[in-house]
This record gives sequence, C-alpha cells and structure tokens, in this order.
Amino acid sequence: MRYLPQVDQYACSAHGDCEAVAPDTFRVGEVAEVIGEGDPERVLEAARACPAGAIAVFDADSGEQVYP
Amino acid sequence: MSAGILIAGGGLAGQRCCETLRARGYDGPLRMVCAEAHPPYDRPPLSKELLAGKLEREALTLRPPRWHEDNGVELLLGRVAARLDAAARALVLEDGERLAYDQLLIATGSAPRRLPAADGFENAYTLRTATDSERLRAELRPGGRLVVVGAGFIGLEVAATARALGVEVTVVEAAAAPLEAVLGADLGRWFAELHSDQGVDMRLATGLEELRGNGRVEEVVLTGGERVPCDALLAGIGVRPATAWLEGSGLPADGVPVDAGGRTAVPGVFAAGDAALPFDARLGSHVRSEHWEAAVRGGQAAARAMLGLEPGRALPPSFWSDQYGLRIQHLGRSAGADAVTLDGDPAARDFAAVWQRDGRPVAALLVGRPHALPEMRKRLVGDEGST
Repeated sequence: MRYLPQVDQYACSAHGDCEAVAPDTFRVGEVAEVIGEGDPERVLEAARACPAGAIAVFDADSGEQVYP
Repeated sequence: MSAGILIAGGGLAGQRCCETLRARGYDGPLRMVCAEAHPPYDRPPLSKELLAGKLEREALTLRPPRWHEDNGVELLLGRVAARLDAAARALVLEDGERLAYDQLLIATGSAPRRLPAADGFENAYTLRTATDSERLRAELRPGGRLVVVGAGFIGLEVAATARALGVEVTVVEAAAAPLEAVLGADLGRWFAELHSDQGVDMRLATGLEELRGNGRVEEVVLTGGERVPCDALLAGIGVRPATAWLEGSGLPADGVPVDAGGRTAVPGVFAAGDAALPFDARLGSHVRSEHWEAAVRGGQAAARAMLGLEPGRALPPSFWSDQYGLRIQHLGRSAGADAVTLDGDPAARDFAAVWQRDGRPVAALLVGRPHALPEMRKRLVGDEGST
C-alpha cells in the first residue's frame, strides 16, 4: 500500500506539524512541500495532524482519496 | 431535480465542508448563505495582521476569487438565515426567500457577547468581522489609549497588537488572572506578566463601574472609583453561538449538539464550527469548541457524513495564539484534571504545561515550542477515547 499526500498550498499555514510527524515526506518552508513518499501510516497521521486540514491523502494504487 | 446541499453560514466550517464535498466527488447543487457581503475569509488575522495593518482584507479570503464559480458553489452574499422549517426541509432567509435542501449544514458561527454598558458609544467595539477589525484599526494611533474589557484570547491578542502600534493599553478583567478558567491561576498570572512586561496596564479582579463620555467613551470608571482615560474600547468577553434563528425548529437555539460526523438530532441537518457542540468522549458531554481548528475538522467531518463516509478519527481540540511574536498552543481540555506538571522555563518563555487526570495527560499548553505539538497530540490521543 502506498499513500500519496497532496498539500493544498492555499490552505497551508506552515504550522510545521506534517514535517514533525513525517519528515521523510514533508518539508515546510513558506508552505509545506511533499519531498518523498514515506511510510503510509505516517503520511496519514501527518494529514490528520495538520491544523489547517490542508493535506489530502490518496491511495496510490486505486487513486481513491483516503483523507479527509 | 435534487435540492442538493445547503450551507447556512459563510465562514471557515462551511467553506471546508464545500471543499471536502467537491473533493469527494459530490457533484450536485451546492449553495452557501453568507451573511456578510464577502466570500468566506480567515478570521485569526482580525486581531493580529489585519488589525496591525500588515495585511489587507483581500489577503484573507480562504480561496482565490474564482474558486466558488469554478467549483460550482453558489454564494448567496449578504443573505441571512432566519428560520429552519425542518419538516419541509427548507431554510427561510430574512428576506423571506425559502431555500429547499436535501442536506443542510448549520455553520452560522458565533457572535461576540455584548457589553450592555457600551451600547450607543461609537468608539466601543467587539471583534468578529473584517469590518470590525478595520474600524478598530482606524482608532489605534501611537499614544492613543485603548481599554480592553476581558482578558481572554481575543482581548490579549488585540492588546499585543495595539502595544506594537504604540498604543497605551489597559486590560480590565473581572477574574484574578487572565484565562483563569482554562489555565488556572498560576499560568493565568504568567499571561498577566507577559503583557505587563510589554507595558500593558493589567487591571485584574476589577470590574467596570461606568463608561463616561458624550457619544464616545472618554473615561472608564473601574470598581473602586479609579478613572482610566479612553480613546477606544474593545469588549472581548466571549462569544455565543449565532443560532437564535433555530428557535422553533426543534433544534436548540443556543448551540447544536452533534456527533462525530456533525449530525444533529434532525435527519438531514448537520452542524459545524462555533454553532455546533461536538461530543467530547472523555468528558461524556457535548462541549463548545470555539476555535479555528474545530471549524476545519467539523466542516470536513460533516461533508464526509453527508456523503455516507465514516467520520475521521477524533482528535483532542487544539488552538493557537500569537502574542508579541510568541507562539502559544493549547491542546485538549483541562476539566477534571488533578495535577499539572511543568517542563521548561516560564521566565524564558519556553515551556510546556501538562494537565493530568489519574496520571494520564488530558490537556497541554505549549509556549514557544511550536514543534512539540504533534508529539503532545500523540500523548493525548490515547486518552481521548479515540479509535
């Protein structure tokens, strides 16, 4: 199973929670950027942790949105 | 044709609900009733960047100008919900129009509590809208005198912003310490010192005797008789859900209890944001959560429920505040806690306070530690009865 996150750049407020949870997947500068794939559970946890609700997560195989 | 989904309210919860609905493939009619004349915008800057003049109103919109058109969301601007006819599945607006719906989101937010003594004074403000913020901003001049009534988060943020603009600020608070109900007396006093150190005159355990002036408040008389000169007054004494229009609908008119998916007791009717009372599993009751993150999560959860999807995992409520460039974050609820532990150095403005019950963390305050939040959330999640 692979999860692909997508950062909504307009909603992102650069709180930095995603990078703290999944440093292999996110880097936060002015806004958060996706820099790699990382562990799917961590990607999902990072999306849930986002205070701005700015991260959507998709199942890489089915293309289906998993979160939110 | 289906009547589709109707959002009563033009704020963050309603906007995030629309976004999740469209992202999750809902392609039916979607309308949003916005009381203000503007598309949904972000409110946290109203006490900070907008008030300081660092941002203009246009920068606060939650989406680019064409987003609603591009995503098939019809905005009914300057229109106000007046009555819910749940039996007929219709929302009645103040102008008399009836809007039918298949599913409705109640997201009309909250309104500031009024300070009755301030009625009729043109320089006495509350802060809820961008217009409120712009009007207050016009009163803030270096050397001018602002009296803030209520040392809650809104009052303290406004105090901090006004100090940075060179305004002389007096904060009048009835309790012995700011934020005492949330943080307790010791940490409340830390907040009092944070503001005193920046030159704010903190008047704690003090009430208002009288506001004096001709059309404008010129002088505030405190209990005990002391008189404080005043060029502008801000009342930050809390908010109440803006749900009086639900009177007679079968739903409570003072905040709407909802489950994890934002469902109310009425089929097809959901609520999110400040208008809603989410269920707190640990406390076993419905509790208001008047914060930005609750509006985001509540709007998204309601969208999922409307589409028949499982609600996301519940998380402890959290919010942040910025004062004098310091990031302050709060997680969970301290109600029922039997101990508080402190880690770090309050004097250096770098610490974490953790509230515990039976040895398990239930709430935390982080000051100057923005990156500690995810770990702290993880520590709390296990104790919130979440799955």
